[in-house]
Amino acid sequence: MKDMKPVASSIRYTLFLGIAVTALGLIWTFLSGRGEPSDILSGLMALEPYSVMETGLLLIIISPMIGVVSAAVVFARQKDLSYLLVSLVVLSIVILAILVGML
Amino acid sequence: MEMVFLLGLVLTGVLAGIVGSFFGVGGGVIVVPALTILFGFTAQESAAVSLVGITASSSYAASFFISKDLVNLRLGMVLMVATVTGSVVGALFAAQVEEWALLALFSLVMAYSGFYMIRNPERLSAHSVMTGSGRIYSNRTEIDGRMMEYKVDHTASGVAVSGVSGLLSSLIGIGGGSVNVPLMNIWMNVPMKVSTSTSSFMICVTAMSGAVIYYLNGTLLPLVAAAVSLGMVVGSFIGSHSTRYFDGRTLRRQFSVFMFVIAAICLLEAGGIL
Repeated sequence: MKDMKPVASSIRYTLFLGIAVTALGLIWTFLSGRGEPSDILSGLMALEPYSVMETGLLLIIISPMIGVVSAAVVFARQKDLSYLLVSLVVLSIVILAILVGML
Repeated sequence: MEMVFLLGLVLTGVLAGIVGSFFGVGGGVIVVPALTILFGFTAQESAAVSLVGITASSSYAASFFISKDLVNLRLGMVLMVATVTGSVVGALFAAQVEEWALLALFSLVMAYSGFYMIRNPERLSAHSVMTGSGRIYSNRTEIDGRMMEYKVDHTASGVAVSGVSGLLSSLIGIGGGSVNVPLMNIWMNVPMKVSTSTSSFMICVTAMSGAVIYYLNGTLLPLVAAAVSLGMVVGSFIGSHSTRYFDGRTLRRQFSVFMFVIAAICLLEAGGIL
């Protein structure tokens, strides 16, 4: 089952990107002393340091999810439909929870 | 934010990362008590920050184990249906739970983990008694150069207990490994190395699901989370590369004493004495 490598690499790349962006954002926030903008999207557009940091955090947070998506793809390729379904169920629970949380 | 404060948070994270990767526990052991007792954050806020740090460190560990083919992704996926559900429920309702209850719960889990660490039970033979329930997967995996075949047992009850593990994870900000690993190894007949590896994957997915809810409802403090999780990443790097220099067993015993102390402190905190 060495074809699980894409799962490992997808988690790693997302995580490292997230760590780098978070570190960048944190240092920048501290140096610029600017406070918290109200909205992350507009803050990111305006390149607010705090929003950059927040984006990094979100990247860190979603890295395992990228792994689950990757695993689903691998299961699909292996024609393992039951576990493709299980992965999609896990994914759906998180997405559903996000939607509920956004209310 | 004060430089000293920020530095303190980063150092807390570094310590948590070292301890976590060294002893195979999540960083929650250090982060939650430090944040509640030393920094004065609420139990829920501390749990949220802890979960982000745990996501970061366990994701990296998981990716490493996955590439070594030690993770039973299928088993993990099935159990994660339960852990993620539990975690999401926990995070959604955490604000409704009294802080003292969360701290008492944390204290209980710490005491349990401390005991578990001393006793360190392990099911060595993966081929033993089959009860015949839920034999859904069999797997062959290469451990230390030997091909091992094992059949997963007690899947249904395993899923049920995993749900509790997930609930605890988001409520008190731990990874859940101290439930997952014995559950898989002792109850479900999975070899130890596969159990710990699969657990790390389960932990990162479970932790992130709690973290994302906390982020959305404002419990997660981004600046604090950034400082602590970056510290934890550095700490895990240091910890995982230092294991060869120390005697594991003595340290584990010493650490379990430490966990009992933490448990006692948190209990006092729950009772309003601290």
